[in-house]
Amino acid sequence: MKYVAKRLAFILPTLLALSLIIFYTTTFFPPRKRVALFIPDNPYKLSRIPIDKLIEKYHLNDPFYVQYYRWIKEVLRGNFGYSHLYNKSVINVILRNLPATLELVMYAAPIILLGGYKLGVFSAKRASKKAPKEDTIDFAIRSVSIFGYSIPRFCVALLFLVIFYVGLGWSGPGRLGHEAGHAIFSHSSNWIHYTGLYTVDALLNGEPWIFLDALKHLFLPAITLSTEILPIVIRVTRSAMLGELTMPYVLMAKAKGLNEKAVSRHAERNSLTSVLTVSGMLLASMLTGVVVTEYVFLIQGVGNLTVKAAQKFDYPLLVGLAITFCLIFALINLFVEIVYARINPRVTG
Amino acid sequence: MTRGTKVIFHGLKRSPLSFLGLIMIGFFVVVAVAAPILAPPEPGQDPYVAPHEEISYYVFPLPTFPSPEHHFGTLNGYDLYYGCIWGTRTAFQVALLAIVIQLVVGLSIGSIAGYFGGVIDELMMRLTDIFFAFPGLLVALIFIVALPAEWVVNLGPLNLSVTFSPMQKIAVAIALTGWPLYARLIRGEIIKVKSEDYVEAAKAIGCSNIRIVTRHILPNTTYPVLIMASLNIGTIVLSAATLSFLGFGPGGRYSPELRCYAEWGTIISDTRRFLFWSTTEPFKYIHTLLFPGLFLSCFVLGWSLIGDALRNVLDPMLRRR
Repeated sequence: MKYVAKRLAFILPTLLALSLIIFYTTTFFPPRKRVALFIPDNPYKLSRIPIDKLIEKYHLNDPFYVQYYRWIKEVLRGNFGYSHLYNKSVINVILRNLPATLELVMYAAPIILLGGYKLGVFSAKRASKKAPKEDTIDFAIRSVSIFGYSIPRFCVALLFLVIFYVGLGWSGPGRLGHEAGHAIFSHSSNWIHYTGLYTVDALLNGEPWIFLDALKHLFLPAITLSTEILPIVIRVTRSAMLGELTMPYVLMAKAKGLNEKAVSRHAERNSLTSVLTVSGMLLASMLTGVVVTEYVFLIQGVGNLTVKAAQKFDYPLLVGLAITFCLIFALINLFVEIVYARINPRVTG
Repeated sequence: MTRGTKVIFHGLKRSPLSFLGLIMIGFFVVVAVAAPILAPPEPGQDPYVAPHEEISYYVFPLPTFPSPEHHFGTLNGYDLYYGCIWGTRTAFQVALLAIVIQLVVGLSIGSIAGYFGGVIDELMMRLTDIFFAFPGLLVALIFIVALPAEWVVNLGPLNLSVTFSPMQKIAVAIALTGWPLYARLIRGEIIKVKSEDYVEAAKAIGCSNIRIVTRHILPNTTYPVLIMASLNIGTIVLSAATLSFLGFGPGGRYSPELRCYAEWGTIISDTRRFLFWSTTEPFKYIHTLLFPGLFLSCFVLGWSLIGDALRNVLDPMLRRR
């Protein structure tokens, strides 16, 4: 408990510093755009007001820290400003786009974590059995994962699109097919948006065909998302497992006559911690991947939103997204650290 | 040749994959150096902008297929072969610029933190942690949007004004997110070296702090840092290509002239329009994706192969210390 409190105490200054950096970058922006940071309303209503009046009215000439204080107060209240791209307040836009990203990550994460972990352990076991020599399957897994790590995600995504969507006609970009979209968004539909995740909502609404349709649209994006991350998990698990297998306790267990499965179970549990240590890196790679994947597959999630906001210079939206990402990032890292402390009690000491 | 380098070369020779990587990188170095011979630019023009037909945002010619005249075919009215060849140069340029900036920032922060220790160390490392923890590409994206094309730094008498080309902007943005790695590495190395006898001796003679760091400590820590930096070239180029694919490179919102900029990510971004041109012949224009995609993938793959082998070689060496 003390450890959790300590981690929490560390996260607050981190978030503070990050918000300071983010706010500092906004000082580069032109004043008419900066106004949108402070108001929840369309700033173009103010376009008749001359610029110096505007600066005066919204105190854009105040010292940096005064402006920051006023801004962060609004942010803590949930007011991120106004997005001119969507004609809505930023927080609404972000909340509307979040479920698509969540759904994508929800399906990609098991592939990445479970698949990567199992493959890494398998690879390490093969390698350690033929210790001084190279094992062919281990070698194959390693080389394929290096290839997977090196081929850019957007190339993979485009190839998938051409082969499976245009060529074979499996499904199309976006989150839903035409019929499913019609069934959900037509006026006569009595679809209830429980969570915004279409696969979950479809089951809750009792429409299994929409569930299948949504799943079909999620399959390739989830694979694309995992291409660059899966190899990291495989590599880390493999080397950790190899390290564990040379430990004295494994030798001891073998000497006692424990069977292969039981021995590897011991080692597997200990190598699990090493995957958690790179979780920050995995998460960063995941967020980057979400941006690229959503952009290519035309999924209306926060990743796509980020690209659009940056392309169209929608600063309040971009700043709001950055704050959101920081928050998500910090929270997940905190969660991982607590889990880590649970698994490996040595760190709390 | 020192013993360390010998061990590394021996290790590299033993692994066939790293040999493949070396060949790939060698190929790209040759291509980059020989670019003016392989694809001669038109005299008087910017060589990084592929020679092209008259184009605008709304009117664009369809891609053509590989022919003796255009080895890889054309895209948007420019020669794909030219774009791929000069794209190699762009890739190396971006990587070098980014690495130099990263090294300067990382070295200064890391060495200050490592040498002085205490509160300064704590503060700087927290800052590093913050940057390290955040997803690089997203921060780079924000930097690209926030960075003005002309950056005026007013330091009293010193009035610097730096103009960025789109590619330089990308390199700077990537560098500003990548330095924490070096800062940490350098700090660790310096803490290790700090207690060595020769540093103590230098202190005893009365050398200044700056002299000790720059003349005695840094030369002894450059080796691992340089290896790390060279291994990062692949990642940097990948990030740069991703950013320009997303529309923040030369092709994006700049002049139509720069749409023909020789950069792999930009080219691939341009192919999207034609990949989904017809449903009856889905693979008609796939060569416009395959050629630049192959260049980019091989470039990144080459560096990862070498990096993987080097890590295997260096790991036991690092462990031995």
